[in-house]
Amino acid sequence: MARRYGSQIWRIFLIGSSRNERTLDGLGFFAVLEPLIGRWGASADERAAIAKRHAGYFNANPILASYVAGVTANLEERRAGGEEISPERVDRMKSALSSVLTARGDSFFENTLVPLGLTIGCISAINSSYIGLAIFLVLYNVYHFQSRIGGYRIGVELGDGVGGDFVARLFREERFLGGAAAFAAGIFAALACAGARGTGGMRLLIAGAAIAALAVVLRKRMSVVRRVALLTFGTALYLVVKEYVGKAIR
Amino acid sequence: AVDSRSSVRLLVSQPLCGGLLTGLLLGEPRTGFLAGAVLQMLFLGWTNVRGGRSPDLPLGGVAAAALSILVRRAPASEPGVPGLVLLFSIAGALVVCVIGRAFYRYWESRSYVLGEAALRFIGEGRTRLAIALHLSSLAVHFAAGFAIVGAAAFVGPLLIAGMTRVTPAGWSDAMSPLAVMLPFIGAGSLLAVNLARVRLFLFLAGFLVVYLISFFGS
Repeated sequence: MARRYGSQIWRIFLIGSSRNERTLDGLGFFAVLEPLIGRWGASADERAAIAKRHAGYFNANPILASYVAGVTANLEERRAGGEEISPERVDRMKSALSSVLTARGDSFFENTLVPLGLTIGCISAINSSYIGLAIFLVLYNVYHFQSRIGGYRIGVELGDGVGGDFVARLFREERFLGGAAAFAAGIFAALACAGARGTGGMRLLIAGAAIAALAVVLRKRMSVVRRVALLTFGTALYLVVKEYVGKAIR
Repeated sequence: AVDSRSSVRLLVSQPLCGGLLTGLLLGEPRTGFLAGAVLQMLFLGWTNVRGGRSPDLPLGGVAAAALSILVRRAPASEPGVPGLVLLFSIAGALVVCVIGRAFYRYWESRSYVLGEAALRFIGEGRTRLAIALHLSSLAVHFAAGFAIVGAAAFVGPLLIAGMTRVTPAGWSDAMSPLAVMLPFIGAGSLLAVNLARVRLFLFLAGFLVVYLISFFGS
């Protein structure tokens, strides 16, 4: 497989390199298909027309974009072989698949797998261990490589067999992993509480709980950087005030 | 830059990993890892929403690790103030996150010029040139990331060392529990994203199991 798809696979990993506001990843998508375009058009004009069609607007989850590239390659290959497939049908398929795969990919990778992995990494970092980081990288990249390389292969082999039903069957373990992410989040919170109690007793633990409550309240009210900056400096200020008040009382 | 902006996305650019790699490069992997981990904990629960205003965390992670290591090597540094150094390193990293994001937004809004040139080349049948333009964006991201982190690593340690010197002595002592307090920010954000019924139950289950074990264990 590596030999057959090798020239496309490394390009799939760089699909978002030239992302811009007008065509988004269009140029990257063209770059993936470029080694094949020579086979699809008999004349130079025909090849240029195919190339221009695929260098236009393209927006998809970068990991699952490989499925779209594979399906497009399949349809163009069949079209070049004489099957009745119009360029409009290829474009429609490309556009529809991009939308559903983006929703699926963002939900699985951005909202489930990455938060789970990072929480595991941070849990072990609290204990100054690198194991969590290794688990995070392995867990994420198993799905990542499977989707990128396997996704392209499946797209090429199934063509328009990759539809809504197929996408719905992708990542069926998402619910389980989402639950695991919630459980890991609870463990992280418990370790934060245990650390605060061990360092400064109940007073520090209560302060920490107040900071966490503020983080919940502020989550939808301000941007993430502002929230993090405000809470970080607020925590520092609290520690300074606590120190001075403690000294004054003593 | 290559990992996060090119869509290679092995996620070795996350602060947790970027901090460790920076630490390895500067000869103090543990310090780098912990600085990156603290930045990562601050952003736990935050998801990179498509089209949202996402801070440049990869650059921030490298900056946090580099600053916390280099500040101790700065000529005017004050020994024994880890809490203050952590606070200022995180502050520096947040500034780098914002600058990195601003640059990326600027580049994204202007780089269509490259895209249009590439389309022209494609029309003329010069596809290799179009692909070279596509890949050249990587060099821009690499150079920008390098310049931003380089500037932070050059100016930051001196600035932080100076600030720790002028900060009242009492503040340094007060800051010592900062590293155990900052994870609460991430814990709060994690709680916020797990407020749905089943997820909240699992969150509380994880919390209670570990907290009770640590409570009775100690």
